[in-house]
Amino acid sequence: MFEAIIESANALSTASLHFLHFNALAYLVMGTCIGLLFGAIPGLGGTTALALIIPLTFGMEEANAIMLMGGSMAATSTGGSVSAILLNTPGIAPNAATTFDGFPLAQQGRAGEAIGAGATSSALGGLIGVFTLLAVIPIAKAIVLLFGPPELFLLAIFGLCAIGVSTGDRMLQALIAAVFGFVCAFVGFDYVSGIIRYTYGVDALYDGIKLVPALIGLFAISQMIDLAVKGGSIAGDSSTLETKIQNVSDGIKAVFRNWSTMLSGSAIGTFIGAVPGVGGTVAAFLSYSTQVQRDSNPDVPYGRGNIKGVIAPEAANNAKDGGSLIPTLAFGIPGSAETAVFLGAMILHGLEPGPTLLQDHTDEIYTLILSLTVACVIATLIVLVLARPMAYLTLVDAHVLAPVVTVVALIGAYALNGEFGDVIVALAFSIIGYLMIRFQYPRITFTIALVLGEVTERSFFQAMGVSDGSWGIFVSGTPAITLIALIVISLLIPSFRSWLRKRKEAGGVS
Amino acid sequence: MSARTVPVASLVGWAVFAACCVAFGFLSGGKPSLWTLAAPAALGWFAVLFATRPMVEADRRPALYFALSVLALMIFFVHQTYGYEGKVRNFPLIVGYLGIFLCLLDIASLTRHGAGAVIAKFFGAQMEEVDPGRRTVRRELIVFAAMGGCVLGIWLIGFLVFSPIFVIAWMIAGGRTVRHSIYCGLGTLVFIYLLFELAFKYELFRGVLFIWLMDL
Repeated sequence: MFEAIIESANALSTASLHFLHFNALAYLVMGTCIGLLFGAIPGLGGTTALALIIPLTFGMEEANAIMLMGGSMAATSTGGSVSAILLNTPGIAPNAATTFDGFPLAQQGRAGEAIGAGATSSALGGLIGVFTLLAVIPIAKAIVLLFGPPELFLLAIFGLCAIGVSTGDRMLQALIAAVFGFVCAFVGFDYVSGIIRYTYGVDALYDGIKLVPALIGLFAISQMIDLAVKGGSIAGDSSTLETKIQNVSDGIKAVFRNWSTMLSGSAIGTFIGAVPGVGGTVAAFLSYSTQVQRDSNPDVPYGRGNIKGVIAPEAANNAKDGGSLIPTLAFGIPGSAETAVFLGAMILHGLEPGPTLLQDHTDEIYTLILSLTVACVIATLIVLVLARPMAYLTLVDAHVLAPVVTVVALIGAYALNGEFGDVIVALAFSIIGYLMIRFQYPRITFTIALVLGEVTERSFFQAMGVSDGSWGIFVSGTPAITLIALIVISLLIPSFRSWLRKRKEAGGVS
Repeated sequence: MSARTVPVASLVGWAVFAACCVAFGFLSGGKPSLWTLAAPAALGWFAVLFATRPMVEADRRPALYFALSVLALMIFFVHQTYGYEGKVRNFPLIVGYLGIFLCLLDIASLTRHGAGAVIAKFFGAQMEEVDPGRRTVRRELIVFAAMGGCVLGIWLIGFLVFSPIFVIAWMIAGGRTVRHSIYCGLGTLVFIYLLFELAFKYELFRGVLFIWLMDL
């Protein structure tokens, strides 16, 4: 353990050297600005931002690419709080809890205070999440070594089931989407047997379905199709922007006055973020409801402009970023759609997901952690200075946004390899992505299965090879049995949830 | 269709489906030819369509057709997997059969009949009622066609020429002024050129027509 800590400290100091280069810092600021912008514009979000950024990172040094993407990931939820407070429209889903007290504060002419509190608690929450990640990594390294091929296989299946559960009442569809993701992952050269499968003579498919064009289609273009089909402006009414933004410093002071609210929100966010698939929305709402329960005698009722109602969800929202990277980096199991796309980008840069990531790429991991840390602070500073112009951007019309983003996304898909086939892949996946939105099949499990398909099949193959074809290997050893128990529990959660709901309703009637 | 005939039609459909499954299972043992397996696979899918359509209410039919399309894809995948031998097909077959099983559960959950409701509750397959807004099939097809047209246009005349044309055409069709649309189109061109061609030194696709003209 001591050696692991020393090794981590060395990697951290090596990673911090990247921040002395002007180019790297410029990429970090650029990523932060992109993240803020995509977070603030409702309907876009961090996943779309990452999908569009990936092609730009091709040819970049790994550290620069990680800083660009890390900046974007850290800033998205901070950007989302601006539109939540000023327009009552959350930029991304996890900011929805911020609207409860943020928008009433804006209506009372205290928008500046709400933005100041939101941005400051976001930054502090983000830093707490990242520091937790930093502390957990040496321990995670030791745990990861206990995992062999059967455990890795079961872990991937558990990750998919856990994320399926988090999709609410659409678990069955989430599992179907995961199966479909695996089917797509089987296309092309099979590294286990060395033969080419399911390509039907199409040369472009020999290397498999390329991840980046697929992700661009699935998240960026499909979102534009959805916007175009629904039509209209994204954020809605511009009259809500007439509020003045002043007294930002009062909001900053409010966070330090209510430090326990910020700390409990951060703790909830970090913990929830570490559970694969549960995500920022649950973290923010849980933090908000915990705060409401804790504060039984508030000065201002919650929902009518209590500043603590902004601090609690915003701290949780950003703290979950660090937490969600724990399963992603330690086990290669993404905790959210955004981290799944991020994992795809890492593969592009030669960083294979799975236990070897922590062993062989410590430098890159610490660069990411430091990027998230610095980006949290930069994003907060930008929001505090530029909140008003940022809010105006959210009023952009879908008819302007959709064609521009589509064209840029298609160029991104092409630019990566200079092959027109990738543009067609992006188009095909955009239609698949749109149909998944339309019929409520979660795209996240599809993406994770697509990303993890090769590793999962390889682990299955290796496990079966080791056991001479016996299925018993999947129930041998404590980690494997624990994982199977977790899979069964996660599959039973929807029915348990339904039973609880029924019981509650019956209780309500009586 | 009366309430009485619905279960009968469905029962016949499910019975045919079960027969197809047995036939498929029987034929897939050993070294089957893909042509032999195609008949029970296709017939099985039509049997599911025949069995479930009368049991699903009109407002859920689009979801049913989508679920049936996914099922068709899974059946096709399993069918094609039998074209590979040995270890190559082991894991894909597990995934494919699991996919078919889940698709059948999904389809059954749409029926709202006794078993369907139980499945929906047990696995969590409740369809959220979403405000459709201006979403219509016609509108969706128009947007799909626009996206397809965009890719076709880029293939013909390249990114740099077609991108502003696409942005301008889309904005005008969306009711924006010609002047505003031209500004946005040209802005997009400048952005693309500066970012991709100058900053990142990518040579964007020039289009087959341009390449053809250069060859002349």
